[in-house]
Amino acid sequence: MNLLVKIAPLLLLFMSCKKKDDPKGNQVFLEKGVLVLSEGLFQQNNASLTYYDDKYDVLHQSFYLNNNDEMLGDVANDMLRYGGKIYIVLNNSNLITVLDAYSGVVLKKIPMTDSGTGRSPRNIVGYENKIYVCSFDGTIIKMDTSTLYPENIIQIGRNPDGMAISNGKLYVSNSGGLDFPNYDMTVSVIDLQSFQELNRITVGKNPGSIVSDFEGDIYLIKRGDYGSDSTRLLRIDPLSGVVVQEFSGLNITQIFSTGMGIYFVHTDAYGNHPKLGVIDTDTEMVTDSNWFDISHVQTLYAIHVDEPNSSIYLMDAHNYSSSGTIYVHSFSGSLIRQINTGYLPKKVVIFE
Amino acid sequence: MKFRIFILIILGVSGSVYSQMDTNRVHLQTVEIESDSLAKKAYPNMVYLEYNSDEIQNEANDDLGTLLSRSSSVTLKDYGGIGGLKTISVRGFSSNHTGVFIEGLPVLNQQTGTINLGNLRAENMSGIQFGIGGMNEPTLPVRANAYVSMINIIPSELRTDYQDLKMRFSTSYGSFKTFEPFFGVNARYGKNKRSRLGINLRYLYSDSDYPFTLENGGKTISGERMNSRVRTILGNFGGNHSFKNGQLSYRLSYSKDSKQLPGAVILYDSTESRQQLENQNASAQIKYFHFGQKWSLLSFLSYHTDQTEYKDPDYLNSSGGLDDNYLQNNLLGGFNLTFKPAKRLEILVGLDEAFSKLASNKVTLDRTWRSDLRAMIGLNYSVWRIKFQANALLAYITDQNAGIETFQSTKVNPFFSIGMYPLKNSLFHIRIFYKNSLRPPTINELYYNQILKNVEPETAHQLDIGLSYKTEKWTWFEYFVLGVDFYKNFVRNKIILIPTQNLFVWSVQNIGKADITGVDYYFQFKTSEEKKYRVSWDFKYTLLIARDITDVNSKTYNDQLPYTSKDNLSTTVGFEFLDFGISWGINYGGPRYALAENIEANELPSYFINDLSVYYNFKFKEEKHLLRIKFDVRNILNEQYVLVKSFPMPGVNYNVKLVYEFTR
Repeated sequence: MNLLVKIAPLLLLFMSCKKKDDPKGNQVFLEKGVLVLSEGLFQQNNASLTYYDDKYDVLHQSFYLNNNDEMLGDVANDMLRYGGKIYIVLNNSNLITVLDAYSGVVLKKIPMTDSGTGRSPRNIVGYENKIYVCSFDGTIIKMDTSTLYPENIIQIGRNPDGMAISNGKLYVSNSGGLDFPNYDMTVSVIDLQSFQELNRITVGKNPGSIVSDFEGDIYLIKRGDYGSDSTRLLRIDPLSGVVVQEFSGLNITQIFSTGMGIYFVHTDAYGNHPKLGVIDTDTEMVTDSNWFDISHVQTLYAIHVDEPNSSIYLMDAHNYSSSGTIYVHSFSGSLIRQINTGYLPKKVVIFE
Repeated sequence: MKFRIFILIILGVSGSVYSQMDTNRVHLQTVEIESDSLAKKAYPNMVYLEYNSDEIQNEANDDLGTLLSRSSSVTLKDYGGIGGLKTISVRGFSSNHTGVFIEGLPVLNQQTGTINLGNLRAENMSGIQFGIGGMNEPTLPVRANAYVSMINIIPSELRTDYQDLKMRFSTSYGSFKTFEPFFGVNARYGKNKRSRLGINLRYLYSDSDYPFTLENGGKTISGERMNSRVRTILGNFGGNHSFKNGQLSYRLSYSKDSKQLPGAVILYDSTESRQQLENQNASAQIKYFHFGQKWSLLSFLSYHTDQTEYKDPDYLNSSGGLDDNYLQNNLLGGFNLTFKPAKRLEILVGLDEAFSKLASNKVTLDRTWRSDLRAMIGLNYSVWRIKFQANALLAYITDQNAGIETFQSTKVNPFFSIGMYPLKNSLFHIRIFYKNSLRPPTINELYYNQILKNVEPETAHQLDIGLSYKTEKWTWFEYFVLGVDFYKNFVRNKIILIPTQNLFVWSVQNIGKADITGVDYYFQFKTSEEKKYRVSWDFKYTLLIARDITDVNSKTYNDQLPYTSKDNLSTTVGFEFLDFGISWGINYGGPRYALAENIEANELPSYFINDLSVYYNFKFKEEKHLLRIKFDVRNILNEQYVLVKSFPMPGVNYNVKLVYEFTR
């Protein structure tokens, strides 16, 4: 079995999803398939959307370009499907692009600027018909999903870098990454009803990715200083508002929550040799720290777990100078599919 | 270490030389050489081009980058505008493999390795020498052999195209509110007029904002490049004194430069860049060359200081923006000793040492020292009509960062060549050379992100076979040149920056390999000056297959290297009638890729740029006085193109130049 898992990626390299690629010109609809956001490289204006159409087994590598006759923009950091829309956060274009979640056509482009200065938006979440965007300028902007106009804005910590919602509250990690080496060390807690910052929880240097589970627990990665202060996964109890657990011994660099489980990537001390692990959200214990062999992945840039279909998407940025690949594995580790993407595949949305 | 310091002190007392460089960009200083210099005869075994003052001035060349882009083997990377960074890639090698020298001494930039050729403006150059390959040259530091190719600029303050006195005043005004006045005086003085002295001053102002259009998928967007203003003031002073068996030369230079940086064109971004770069640098150099029947000695010393401040008020840190300061100090000294133990044999030994110190408010770069020693032994042997050249160059480089030794490298690079004139009384020439050279990691590559790895210098291997035919004063030709060079190059240990944990943390690794095959073809002639009219034609074509062979499993394996066109063509046709002249230049670059993967999304379209230059010279009083008016139209077909992705180049633009020159 192990051998099969190891050689499966190689076999698939020869029979992979090159498929019938991009029949250009015709509009492509998002019905059943996988939409992939690729971040693109800085100042190359090559952020992109790729759509793998599961229904017809066709890969539309330039989905956004095909449906809109233009490029997506520069450095796409996040994508959210919420209601009937898809929101794309374009960090270096200082823009939120809103698409129709069926036709993939642009509905609106929302500039993220403040008196001529770019806000540098990073992440987006949705809650009760509102969307919330955090930006490196230290702000959270609240927008209504029907009008797509900003309703309110608050200032929080330095260079917010991740958001998670739990029990009507928004938890935002304040990285302070642009103040290297003087990082921020806090997570802001915002009441979404009043849209006021309630308090800041001290968690350690350079907090980054943050997610919640079905119990409302908050998990976040404190990235440290990439030196003596190692990257660690922490758990915050939402009731007490303090860090109650550190998953010591593991350099956890990425997390993904399905609500029922927290899936993570951990590496050696130098950021190399990534492995997959799982945390049981009932017991809050690591149940597996070497789930299956992923040595065929050159640079694991992001993960996505599709629990209903028991599959995991491993997004490979390769050497950063070539386009990416997504390896779709079953929970048993076997390779189901390989999807060629744009540069630095970052986010996946599944259409059923 | 003590030994090397001692050498520098001795050299300082005995004589010599130079300096000038910078951190992010370098500003011109100048040098000069007689147009048909000894160099041609000295370097028959290398690929060698030369531009004299007229050639520099007659065409629509603003700067060294534009001028060299008309040479075969050269690909220009230009970020656009008067202040935009310009670098060249020679025969598929990265820009750091080309050394830039002024008056025979190197312009060092150990921090970035990048010399901005856009800062080296035409008025400050009275001659340019450009060579690919190796040489055992008594008048140049052995470091000149350390590069794949080298450029030597002869600065205007050391020009020699006059008997007693030359005064030159020029002023130009052009598109994008560009204004550039220049004033220079050169004089000979002393007993038997053995001494020369030159001084000049140049100012440059340009708004440099220009309109552009860019393709965005199936749409076309238009805009204007903003925040591009450039202000530069540059002063140079230099001179030399000839002795019976030697020459002492010296030079001082100072420049102050303020540039706004427009940045890349980012789709949909409505903000405007407010980045700014302030730079000041000063240099001093002294050089003494002694020559005898059996031996010669070159010794030199130079000092250069370069201060750069980079500001970005829109950077979203808590202090309200970036304000990075860098201060680089370079001290260089060395000697060359050449002697002839036998009639046909010449031996050269030389050594030079460069100390560089970088101070910065960026903590990872602060307190960085680099000691860069080069030593060489070379042999020239001539028999029949064949010249053999060989040398071995030692590089010993060590770094200290924050008091800790962080980098050390010792390498020996060989060079071997044969040059031959197989036919009697003919200038048909065959040359073959193999050259091995290295490119050490820059200070930024090693320390910018505080990630240190066992980085080795990048290695370049060149194998070249060239055939050329040249004739002078033949029928109605002043000269006629025809040549072709075939070459095979390899890059090993290519230095590549790779993000590790995320895009903020980078590692430097020696993982790149490249395989380059090329052909240069060139053809030039100019008709004799005995007629009232003269015609010149210069044609150059390069075929360059430069492949990435780093990793057979990579998507980029066997792909053409980024920003390297397979086809490059340049041609210039000139016509002169009495005092009237016109020159038309064409530059063609084939399709290229902006990134390593050769996919449609990365393709940059070919470009075809036409420049026109027209001038008229009014000469009076026995031609002592010259009044010249010159009109340039650049990119006459208003081609919208990029040389670097997201950095559009200007469309059609104009420049008028008025020159008054008094020569005696």
